[in-house]
Amino acid sequence: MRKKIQILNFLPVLFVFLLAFVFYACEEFSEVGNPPSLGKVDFSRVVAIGNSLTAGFQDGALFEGAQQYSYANLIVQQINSIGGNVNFVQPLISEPGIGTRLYLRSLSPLTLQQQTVTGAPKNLTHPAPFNNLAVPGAILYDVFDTTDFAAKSSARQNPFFQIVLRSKAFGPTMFHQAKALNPTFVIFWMGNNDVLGYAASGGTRGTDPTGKLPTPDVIFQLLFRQAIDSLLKINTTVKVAVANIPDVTVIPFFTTIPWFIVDPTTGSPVLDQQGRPIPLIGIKGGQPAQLGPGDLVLLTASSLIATGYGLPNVPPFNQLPNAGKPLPDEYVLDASEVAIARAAIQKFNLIIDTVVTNPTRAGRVVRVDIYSKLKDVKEHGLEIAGFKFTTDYITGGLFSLDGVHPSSRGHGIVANEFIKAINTKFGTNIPYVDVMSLPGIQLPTTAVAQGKYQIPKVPAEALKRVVDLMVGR
Amino acid sequence: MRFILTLAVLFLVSTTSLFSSGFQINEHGARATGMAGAFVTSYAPISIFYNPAGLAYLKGTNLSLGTTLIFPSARFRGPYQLNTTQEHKMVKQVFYPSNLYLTHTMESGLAFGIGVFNPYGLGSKWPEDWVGRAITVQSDLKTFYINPTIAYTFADELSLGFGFDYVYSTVTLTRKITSFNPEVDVKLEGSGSGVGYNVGALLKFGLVSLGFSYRSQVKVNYSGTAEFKKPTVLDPLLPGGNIKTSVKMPDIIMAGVGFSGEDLTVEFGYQFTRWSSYDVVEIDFENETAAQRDQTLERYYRDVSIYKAGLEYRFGNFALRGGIAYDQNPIDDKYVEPSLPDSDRWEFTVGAGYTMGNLTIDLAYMFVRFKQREVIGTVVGFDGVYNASAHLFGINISYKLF
Repeated sequence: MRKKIQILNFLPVLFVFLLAFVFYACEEFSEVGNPPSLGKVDFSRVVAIGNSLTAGFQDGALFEGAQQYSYANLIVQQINSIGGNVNFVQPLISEPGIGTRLYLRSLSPLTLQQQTVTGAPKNLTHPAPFNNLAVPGAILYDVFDTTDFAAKSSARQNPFFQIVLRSKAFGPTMFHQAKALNPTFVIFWMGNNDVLGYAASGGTRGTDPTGKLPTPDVIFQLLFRQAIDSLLKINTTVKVAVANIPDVTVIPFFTTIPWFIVDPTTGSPVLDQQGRPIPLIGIKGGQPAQLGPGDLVLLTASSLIATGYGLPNVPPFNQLPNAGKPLPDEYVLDASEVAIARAAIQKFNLIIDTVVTNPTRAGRVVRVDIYSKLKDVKEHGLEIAGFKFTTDYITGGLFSLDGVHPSSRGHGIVANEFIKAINTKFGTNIPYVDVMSLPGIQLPTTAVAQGKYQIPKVPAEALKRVVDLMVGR
Repeated sequence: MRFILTLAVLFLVSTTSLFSSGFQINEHGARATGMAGAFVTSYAPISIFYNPAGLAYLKGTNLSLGTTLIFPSARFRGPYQLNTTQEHKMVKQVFYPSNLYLTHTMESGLAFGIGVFNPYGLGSKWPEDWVGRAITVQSDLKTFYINPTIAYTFADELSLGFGFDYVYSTVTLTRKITSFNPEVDVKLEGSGSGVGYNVGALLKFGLVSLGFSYRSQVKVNYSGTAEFKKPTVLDPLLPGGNIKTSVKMPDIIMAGVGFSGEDLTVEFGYQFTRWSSYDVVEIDFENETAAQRDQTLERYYRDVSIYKAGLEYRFGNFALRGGIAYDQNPIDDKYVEPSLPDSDRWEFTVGAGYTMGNLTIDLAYMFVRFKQREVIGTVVGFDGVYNASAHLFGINISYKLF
């Protein structure tokens, strides 16, 4: 009898435990995030206008393997991944592409090899203008410039005007061919070369009427406003996403080689007797002068320094054949030239802001702030799924071998900035590109013995072609 | 002793697991598991883990052998960095942290024993090609404690216990370096050992008992190798070679108050784990290159508590048990990453025991319900939502030798 009572006492306790157990005996799981959506935006006909960045130029050349990762194509793929069904035709160039293509030959020491490549345009029979109308080397002026594009290609030694625009039957300019497609959505990123032409030539050439400076801001303003207004007039519903212009100091082409002499064996600065770094010698204001922290030595200078350019003609440097000769002017963007370039970028970006946010256009135009994004990556890095992107040359993951154009993953990050801006502005919810699914640094297949020079050996000639492309006219 | 060594080898090839908070495991005896681990005022051979003072109240020579089968499941939705909530499932694995206890209690009230168990462990595995592969693919940490113990009853009211811990541990971590095309497989492997101690006290005032136990921190120094599966062009950058690291297994305090009648025992327990000792993991490469540098992994765990309540009801040869525990996780949002997708959790347990002569069989079942956890601002750039649950089945077979 006593035992029975005890069991009865115990049962309620057990019952409470069982109830609690049953109540909680399922995994907590609730929906998170918003479902992907294209909102009310019509993406049926997407057109991109731009320069080498939008074209998907990488490693000093335009080739199919890079074009498929152009940020514009990646954006379209994301739209299509949620049912967009957009046909985005690009002027693909067969491997190995057109340009002076760079290949990674060794990581330690960092060694690149160049090869002049002549791939062939594909999609020649496509019966309409290409959706990606970006022309490598184009400046803002080229969007509306009705100069015969075949003539322009040969005058500028830039085959891409002819390759991209192809047939006068589609229209004489990037804009006209875009209009012929009656786009519902336009991706527009122009103006980079209006300052990069100046900066990448070490301040020796430019896109202004004198050919010595960046495009004047008054001209830029006129052209930019005309471009956006003309695009918006194509039809009453077309929407436009416009990217602004990144600073030169985030681009490894300008930031990889320091202003002082680096010991090729250790990779650290060579110090003088007072323990200070020894500056390289360049040309400032027409005269040989020591470089300082504000001067940017261009990536193209690396192979010249290896032969003695920029080094004082004293032991041990005087063993090199060109020791004592200053680095030529076009290999250094000195501090005053940096200031000119940065001032131009600030003005261009202000113009872009003003035009885009003007209430008469703001409903249909969104600005993509690549300037701030890259500035942030430069300052803090960008950590995605265990990988940290930086603006370092090659190893940073963001830039391709030419140090100016984005890598495939760099394009993924640019595409995601566009998508973020589009989602915010137009109420879509397009998922981002899985950046890590895009190819990383393509490793050479053969082993290269470990060497001692840690300054990247970049063929100057190869990058010169890239520079020439940007200098335009 | 040979028997124990043979078992030791068996333990080593077996494993332990993820899934108590941090990489702590508290299930080292089915009888205690059935009571949600509230076992500092009870006594059994498994007391070597929970409170060594309990040994003094046993009679004769006892052997107990057991294991806990752990079936965890976890999924991640994200990463938000890619504006996605796509679901990724952890690869299913089964873990079986196991235990062995041998005790002898003399008429004088002096007792001694030895216990072998796996109180820290971690096991997680994600698909080779998943989006987080640069953070982790597989993590596997096993600890193996050998814990000789003595206990003594000073009076009927008080007993004290003391033990020594020899700890052997192995660790394997794999992930991918995604910078390159093709990607590089990284495998870090090591093993090491350390020592520590534990103490316990048990006070009995009639029906009420107070229990306290403490297990010290154990610093395990690992040495091992880094292996990179890569194209030969990366040889100069990633030569691999010997590595060293150390991990501090945190100290644990357990305390409880128990009420024990002839048929019924109820215990309310508290456990404090000083996880703050697990701050950074420094991986030291013997060969350093531009790409292969010493690494500091930030962990910065917080000290956490477990609150638990358990009861046991005995009738005839049978015992029925139930318990509930709330277990806090020690990881701040910013340090949560998929090799250990931790979260606060509720634990619900039921158990049963049956005694036939000298033989006792105990069974336990535990369901662990993790709170859904959304993490934002993670240092590895992997924000999203983790969901997890686990089923645990414990069994112990105990034999009273004489």
